[in-house]
Amino acid sequence: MSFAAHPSPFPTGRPNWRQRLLHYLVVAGPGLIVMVADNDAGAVSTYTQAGAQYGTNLLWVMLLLLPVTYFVQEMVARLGIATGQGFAAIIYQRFGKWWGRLSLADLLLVNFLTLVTEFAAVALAARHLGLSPALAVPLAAASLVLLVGTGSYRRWERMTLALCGLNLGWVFLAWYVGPDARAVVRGGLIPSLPAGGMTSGFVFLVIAIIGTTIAPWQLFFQQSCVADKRLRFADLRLARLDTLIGAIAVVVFAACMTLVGDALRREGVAYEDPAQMAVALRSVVGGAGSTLILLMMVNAALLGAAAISLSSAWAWGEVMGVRNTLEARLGEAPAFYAAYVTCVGLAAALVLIPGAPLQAIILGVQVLAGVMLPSSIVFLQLLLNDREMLGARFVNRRWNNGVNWTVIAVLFALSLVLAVQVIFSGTTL
Amino acid sequence: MSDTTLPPRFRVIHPLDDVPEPRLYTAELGRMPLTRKVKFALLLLQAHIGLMLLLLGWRALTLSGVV
Repeated sequence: MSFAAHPSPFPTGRPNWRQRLLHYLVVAGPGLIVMVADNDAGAVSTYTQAGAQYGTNLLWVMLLLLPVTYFVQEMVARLGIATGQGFAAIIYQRFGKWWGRLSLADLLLVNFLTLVTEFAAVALAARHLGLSPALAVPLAAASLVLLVGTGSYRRWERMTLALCGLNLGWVFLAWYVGPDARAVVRGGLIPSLPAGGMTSGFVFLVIAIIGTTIAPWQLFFQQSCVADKRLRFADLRLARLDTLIGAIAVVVFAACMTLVGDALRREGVAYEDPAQMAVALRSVVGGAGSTLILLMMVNAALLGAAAISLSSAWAWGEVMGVRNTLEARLGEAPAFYAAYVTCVGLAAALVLIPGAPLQAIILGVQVLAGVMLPSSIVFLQLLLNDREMLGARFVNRRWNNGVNWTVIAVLFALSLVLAVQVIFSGTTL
Repeated sequence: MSDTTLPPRFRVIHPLDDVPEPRLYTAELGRMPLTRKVKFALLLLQAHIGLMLLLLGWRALTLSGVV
């Protein structure tokens, strides 16, 4: 008998700590993976740039985003557990074909562009590590295909969680560069503007941070992941804990990346991209530290690429009505795996075309994701108020709605700010 | 993941090994009822998407030197 599947199988009424821990371990995964994978190559670039340009001044934005990202992803986990369906499938079925296909097209476009940036980061890091991108990029693409093609959700989850664990390297690096503890606390707790005030570059970077911390693919990924793992009603509490731990982890790692970027600022070196930063910081972190930064960049890119490609393949399968589970072998879900391999293969191939402005693409994608996010969150909010489907137990509470409509209003406002900025200042989108 | 040292009653079963439970969504539910709030939200979305398309169009015209 599973205590997870049955509400009260305990004679004492309460499970002991060991049972609770075991239950958490079987439930944990989707929340942690979606959050840590969110710190992908684009995020490494955005956060290190934030540190290199504005020091610890933007840490408060990240701290502010912790509850926001948790609330948004908690809704996704709840919807996934209640319906047993992915986000794309539910949009398609509850809002009709037009909205369903539009959401899928949006997702596939943003995901594909983001995937290109992941492979661009692999190429960039490989070049600085003395490897040929022509070798490193196909190798990365092949490893991503091998990661999902095992025919076992559990195997994929364990390998992906191991990649997530490697992010602890950022904590070590942040500690090693010796940040000013007072500045960190002040930057994290007291909202402030940098010395130059609210410039267009500053606003752009804030929108990029929001775009990278709460990305549309995350909504689709976590719900599909929860549905594929077949989490049960009784797992909801621990799925929330999994999401909360993931949200804390993503903000801690983001802050650590910012502190590494801040070390570059303190060295008085101008920021170009994370790989240039790794090389420029050699005098601070040593040759091994510099290599570690480049490897962390590759790890972030691989983790992000794995999650983003999977969210595309899952969503594609849901809308097309084909089998889409990691529990299936390649031959048992050919359309699902073909979608995954196509996303990975095309993005990897595109990066090998010379002359792409990598840093501009990376920041641009984060901004584009920030622009598109409001649409996905509006669907999420409407679905979480769908009493006919979810009943009283799973629908949003009044305070949930208050928080979420506020988040949506802020996201729309930021989108408009970006739109005005792009039109009137000629900033490149 | 299961713990065999505990009595069977307390064994923790991985969701993938558990008996599937009925979910709240069924295909018979069909489309969401278009209440005033839902209509307003979808209208807002259409306006947002329209604005973004205009923005992209503007950028395309600017970059190509037409405007």
